[in-house]
Amino acid sequence: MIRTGINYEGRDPRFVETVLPLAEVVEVTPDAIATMRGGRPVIPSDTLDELRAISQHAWITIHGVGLSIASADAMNESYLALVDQLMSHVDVAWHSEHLGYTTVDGQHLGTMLVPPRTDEALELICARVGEIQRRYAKPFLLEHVVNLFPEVGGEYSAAGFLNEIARRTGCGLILDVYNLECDVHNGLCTASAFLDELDLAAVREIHVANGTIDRGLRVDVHSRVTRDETRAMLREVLPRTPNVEAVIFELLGPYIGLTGLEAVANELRTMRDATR
Amino acid sequence: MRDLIRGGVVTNDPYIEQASRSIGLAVTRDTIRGWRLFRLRQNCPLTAAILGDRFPEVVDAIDCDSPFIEELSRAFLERAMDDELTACVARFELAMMSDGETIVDWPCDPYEVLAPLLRGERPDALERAPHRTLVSRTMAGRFRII
Repeated sequence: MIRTGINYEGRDPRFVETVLPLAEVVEVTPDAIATMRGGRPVIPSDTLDELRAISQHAWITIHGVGLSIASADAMNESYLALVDQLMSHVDVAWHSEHLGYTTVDGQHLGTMLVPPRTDEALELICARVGEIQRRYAKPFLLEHVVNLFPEVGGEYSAAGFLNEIARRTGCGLILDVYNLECDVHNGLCTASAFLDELDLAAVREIHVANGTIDRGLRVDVHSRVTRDETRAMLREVLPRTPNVEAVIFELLGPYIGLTGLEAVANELRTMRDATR
Repeated sequence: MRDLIRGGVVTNDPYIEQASRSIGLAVTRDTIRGWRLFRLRQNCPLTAAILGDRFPEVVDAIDCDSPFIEELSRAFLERAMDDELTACVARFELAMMSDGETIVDWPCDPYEVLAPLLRGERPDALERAPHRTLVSRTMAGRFRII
């Protein structure tokens, strides 16, 4: 059975009451639920308690944005400390991150960038995936990132790079259907070429979302319910991804109020229908 | 790429040079800025409201790249010191986010300031009437006049 779910950023009783009963998987972003205490990010104990309660009726998955696995200097240790905290308090199904970098020399960019697809980057990323797999006895998945800049180039195609990481490390992949739509819209690839090349057997999770178009570029800001086109692509890829266990609708916490809880709940019902 | 996104010097790297001419760079910069404004307006609504049209300018002047809203909010509120009343509202909002109890002094009745700000409106000219509030997020009502 494919489970459907949504991301949750904690401390929202109305969301817990209205939306989470419909979720079979709850995706948690460590960076989004952390607060600063004594100059370092920590996950508050009441949030951990809340997640433990949610885990009684839904899978919890960790999906980070702050690891920066492709930074040239180092991964973000404070992010890993948050994952340590979550892993030790909550029963987590798996952990995933984005194949990108958010920091340079320890400084935050405020966005996530795609690394060059070179052999050097491949070695660096695979070594770090191995570190994460050894650190946590849970599956680790990587998600491709939308690129708003010119094609980064390198020895591999976008799908080929993901395939090679999965082949060398045994990690799983997240196929973000909306990210793919962004890259297609922005002229970086065609959906058929990407999907034909990607090792779809490595895909364990699918994401759907929606964003905006800005100056002709499709941007992944996760700010609204999905479009019909995204749902159609989901229905197209599901039969081709035999090992998918979860489909997640992603909506950034600050946009929940603007979207409306009932619209978010309806989105989950639609996702469930699409996967059954 | 960091320097490029921040508007810094472009090197002679051909990729960076190409990226510097891309629409994606402008969109990325505006998305980062728009997201900061959006999150700060949500997290610091009183100070954002009293700043009015000056809000984006004050946010742009913040020297903080933290992804954590508490740190970003603190940097913003410490910067929002345009005039006596704005500084007072910023200190009040900062106190709301802090641990422990904080005393915030006002040049006027705080309710006359806070009521319009909570509606997203700037207060009218107020009569000078110094007040002192005790602020604590653990207190019922979160503040009281002392």
